[in-house]
Amino acid sequence: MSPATRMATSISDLVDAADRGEPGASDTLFATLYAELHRIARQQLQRHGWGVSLGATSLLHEAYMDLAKHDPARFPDRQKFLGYASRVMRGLIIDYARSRQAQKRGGQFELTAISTDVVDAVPGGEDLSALGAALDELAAVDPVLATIVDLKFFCGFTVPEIAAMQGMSERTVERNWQKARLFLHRTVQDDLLRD
Amino acid sequence: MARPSPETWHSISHLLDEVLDLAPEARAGWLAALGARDPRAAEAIGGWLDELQALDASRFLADRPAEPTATLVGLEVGAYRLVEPLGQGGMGTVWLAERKDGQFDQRVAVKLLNAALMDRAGTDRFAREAGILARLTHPSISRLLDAGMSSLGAPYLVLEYVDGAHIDASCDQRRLPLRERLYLFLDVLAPVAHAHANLIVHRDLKPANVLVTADGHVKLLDFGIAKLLSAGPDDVTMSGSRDAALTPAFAAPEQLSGGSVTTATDVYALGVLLYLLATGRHPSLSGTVTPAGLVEAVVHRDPPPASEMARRAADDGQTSDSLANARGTTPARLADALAGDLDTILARALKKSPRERYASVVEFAADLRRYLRHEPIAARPDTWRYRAAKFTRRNRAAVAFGTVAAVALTGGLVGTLLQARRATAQAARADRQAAVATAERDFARRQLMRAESINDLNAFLISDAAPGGAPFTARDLLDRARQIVSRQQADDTTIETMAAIGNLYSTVGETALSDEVLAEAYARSRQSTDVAVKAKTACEYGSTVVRSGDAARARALIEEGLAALPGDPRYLMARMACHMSGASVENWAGGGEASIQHVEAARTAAEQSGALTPLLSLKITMNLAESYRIAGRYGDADVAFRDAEARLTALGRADTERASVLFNNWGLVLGSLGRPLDSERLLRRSVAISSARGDESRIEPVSWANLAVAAFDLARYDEAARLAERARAGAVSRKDPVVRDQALLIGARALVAGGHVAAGTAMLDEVEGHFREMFPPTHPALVATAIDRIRVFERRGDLDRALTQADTALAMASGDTRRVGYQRVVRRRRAEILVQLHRFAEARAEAARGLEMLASLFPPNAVAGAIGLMHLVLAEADLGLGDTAGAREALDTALRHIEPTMGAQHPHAVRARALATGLTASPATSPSTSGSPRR
Repeated sequence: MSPATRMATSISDLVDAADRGEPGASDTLFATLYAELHRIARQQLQRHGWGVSLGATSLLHEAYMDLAKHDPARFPDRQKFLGYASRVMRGLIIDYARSRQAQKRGGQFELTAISTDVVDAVPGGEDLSALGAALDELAAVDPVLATIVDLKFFCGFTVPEIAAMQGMSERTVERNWQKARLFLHRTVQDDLLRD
Repeated sequence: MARPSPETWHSISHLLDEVLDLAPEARAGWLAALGARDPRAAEAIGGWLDELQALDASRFLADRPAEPTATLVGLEVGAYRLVEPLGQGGMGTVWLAERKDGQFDQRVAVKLLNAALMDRAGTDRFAREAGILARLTHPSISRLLDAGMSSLGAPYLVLEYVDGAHIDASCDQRRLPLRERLYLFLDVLAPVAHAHANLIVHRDLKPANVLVTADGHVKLLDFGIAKLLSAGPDDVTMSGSRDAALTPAFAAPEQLSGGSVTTATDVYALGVLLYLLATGRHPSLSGTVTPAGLVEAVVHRDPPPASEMARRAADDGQTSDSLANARGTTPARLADALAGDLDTILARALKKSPRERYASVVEFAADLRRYLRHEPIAARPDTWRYRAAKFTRRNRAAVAFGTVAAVALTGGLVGTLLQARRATAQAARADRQAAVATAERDFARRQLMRAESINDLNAFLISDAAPGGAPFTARDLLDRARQIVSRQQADDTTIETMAAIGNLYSTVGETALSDEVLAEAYARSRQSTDVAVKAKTACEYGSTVVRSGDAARARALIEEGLAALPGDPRYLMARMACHMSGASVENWAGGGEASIQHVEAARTAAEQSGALTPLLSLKITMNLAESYRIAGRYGDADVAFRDAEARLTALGRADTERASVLFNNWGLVLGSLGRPLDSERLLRRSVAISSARGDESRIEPVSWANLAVAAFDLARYDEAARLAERARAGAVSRKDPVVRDQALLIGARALVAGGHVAAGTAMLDEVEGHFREMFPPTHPALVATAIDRIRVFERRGDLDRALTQADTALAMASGDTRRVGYQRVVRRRRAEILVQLHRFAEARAEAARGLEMLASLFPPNAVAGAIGLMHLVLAEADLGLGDTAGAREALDTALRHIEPTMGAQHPHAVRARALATGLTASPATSPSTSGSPRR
């Protein structure tokens, strides 16, 4: 069995296990997906060159296609998979932002930054960490909204794409997105005031 | 504001849904209505809505976070670790890397290639080509140190790291004058010439690949790499290839138009480079150019002379001044310096047609040196036209390499005249069959076995010799190639190249040289660690050794080759090649089942390899048919030839030289099956193909001889004699003694049968004299002449001597099962003489024995002239014995066999019908003993 097949099978198994709520399954699934996305990212990197951003959407697509290709009978449905994978992508991006900040402070990390001119225009590592924590709270209160944030903000899917994926109308996606922003903003602000 | 508690959130969530679904202008009314029922809720929602506006203004979550850009820094590739990126191009990315074991302070450049989805064949080819390139060493060429597949599954190359500037930038920076630039350019030509001598073409020469180090040394990058990266199987790289990693601005016309990439391609790119160094301008990139415009310019428009370009530059002020300044001169003076010889040299290098460029980089360099020494240069405008015309006039016989295969196939139009004279032709036929087999083997290898070195050899031979227009022969080319190869280190590439040269020598008829070169290739191959190379070389050598008569040694070599090959599927194509060699060895050694088994094994191997293309399938089928023919299994051969013809037609090749060979050999089979009408039809098709261009000189002498045999069998004796004379004359002018003797034999037979007994006898004496010089007394060739002497006595009316001669011939033909074909002919002839001597009982017994032999020679339901003739003589014996019932039956059978195969008007058919009519009209008619047409 090729590594890719093994990987795919285990991801399918893990999605099932996570769905059944088996203890630890969810953590293992995230760790596995995280590694898988890293692998695909490296592959893409090698294919496209060292100066190219990875494109979260295409990464997820590729991860999903890998899964579908290698285990067509068992791979989880797209919505479910993207739900998990977009959370993993969130973690990946937040980790990346942290490492970039750490690097600015002279730390040694494997992940390095792309050109710095875009860095200042986007939330920095600390902001993203706070956002991540707020998102975890939102996920506890209203998981649908949290998923939309993962898909839209972290993974870069468009509203029509998300609507199709989640089986909602575009208007609902848009409304949920606005609500989520409100929730997250208040939560982040509250955290800042408490610190 | 504090974060919402879950309870708060759930209580307001549906209200938010409602208001957010409204258009912004409708929200105030909705809020007012809510305030009327629930002022606190309305206040809260109003706050959320205000906050949403603020979030839009502050672009909260409006911009996506930076996506991670992973880096490959630290990635371990082979023995190296990536340090930092150096650059990026169409082919992939380049990294500075260092040895991971830190043992040497060696910095290298690692190229990570885009071809992420390389299949197994691609991987093998990559490894093989990289192996070839790795052996290219020259102080001015950046070495390929390693190549392989990275842990991520993409191919990589490790190259010597060169710290230098692009040559054009370096020249400008140092403000090198024109002459200095020319000297530096000569330093570029030297390594390219070295690579070409090693049969490697760069394919992508451009300033970025020609670096000058700080101490002024030239270093070429990426030699042959472009080919490594060109997608697809290697057979497209010879022609019709578009290099994936091509740089259009420096591509030669043939690269853009899908022509063959050869050493002349590098000559062109070097021309562009020199033009650029001399003028500062690209020859085809004047003004702004779209990619399509560039392609159009490169492929179709002649560049302006360099001097004109410099002058044109003189008109645009600033730029021209700076360009000239970088050369330490003024625009006008630069233009003057370029006008004349340099313009001519550049124009020659930049010719659209590869053939019109400098024939080699060495010639290019020689002309530049002449210019620098103020000597007259060799290049002249349009010199090539003059030379080409002169060449055509002077040396029509000179052979372009590309036609060698066709020549070899035409030369392979050798077949036996008749079963009875099969062995006469053996020596020459085997030579020629080996030549055909070799050409086909080479072809198969080129197409299927990805023997890059051999492709390169051919590319080299075609390109390096052809463009100059000088007369050359295939032999010249091979001598040259051999010289080059013999100077190289013994490695797998040179061994394969050498073996290919050996095979090609035999296709141009240089069998002694072929033996010599193959023997050396074999000796060298013993050191090889590549079992496929070892095996194939042993087998190829075996197919040569057999020609010197040592069949045992040849077989041992084939066995050695086959035994060396592991069962691994990767070696299936090598196995196929070995079996093809084995078949050729067995065919030379006399043919038989062993040959058939080899071809069948070759087919099995090809099938298992998955590489059984229609073309290869055709070749195997043709070889199988030939092996059947040589083994005397004519029925099987007929079926196989029919199959081959169908395949040939399906491939649209029914009018090629290959088809000509097929129809010739198939025609011989039908002749042997006693179907002269069908045989003649096929032989005529063969000849028609050879002379399709209205040039009868292309018809092989042996084809005339074969047609003569068919005409003889059809009792057209005068025509047969004329055809035989044509064959003889052609064979003499080609110094082909074997075909000459075949022609003499059939000519003698036709003359005697046609009543010119004296002339025929003289001719028979002549050919028998040749045979006695060449062969031992028991040789089958002398059985053939013995049989023909029966007719000499018969025609002189000396039937007793004719019978004695038949007895002698029978004794010579007996005792060897492989001469059963001769025996049946002798027995029929003997029966015919006995009938004329009225010894009917003996005649009947002899005819009966003849029929038994025919039964063993032909398939059960065969319709064959030979069977008819035997029944005819049987009928005559029956008539003599008064057995009219037997005679009638025998005549019926005779006509059933003779009419369809030899025609209703054939004298034997006419006679059989006359006898049958006589039987019906007058049952008591006594047997005829008069001189009816007989053979």
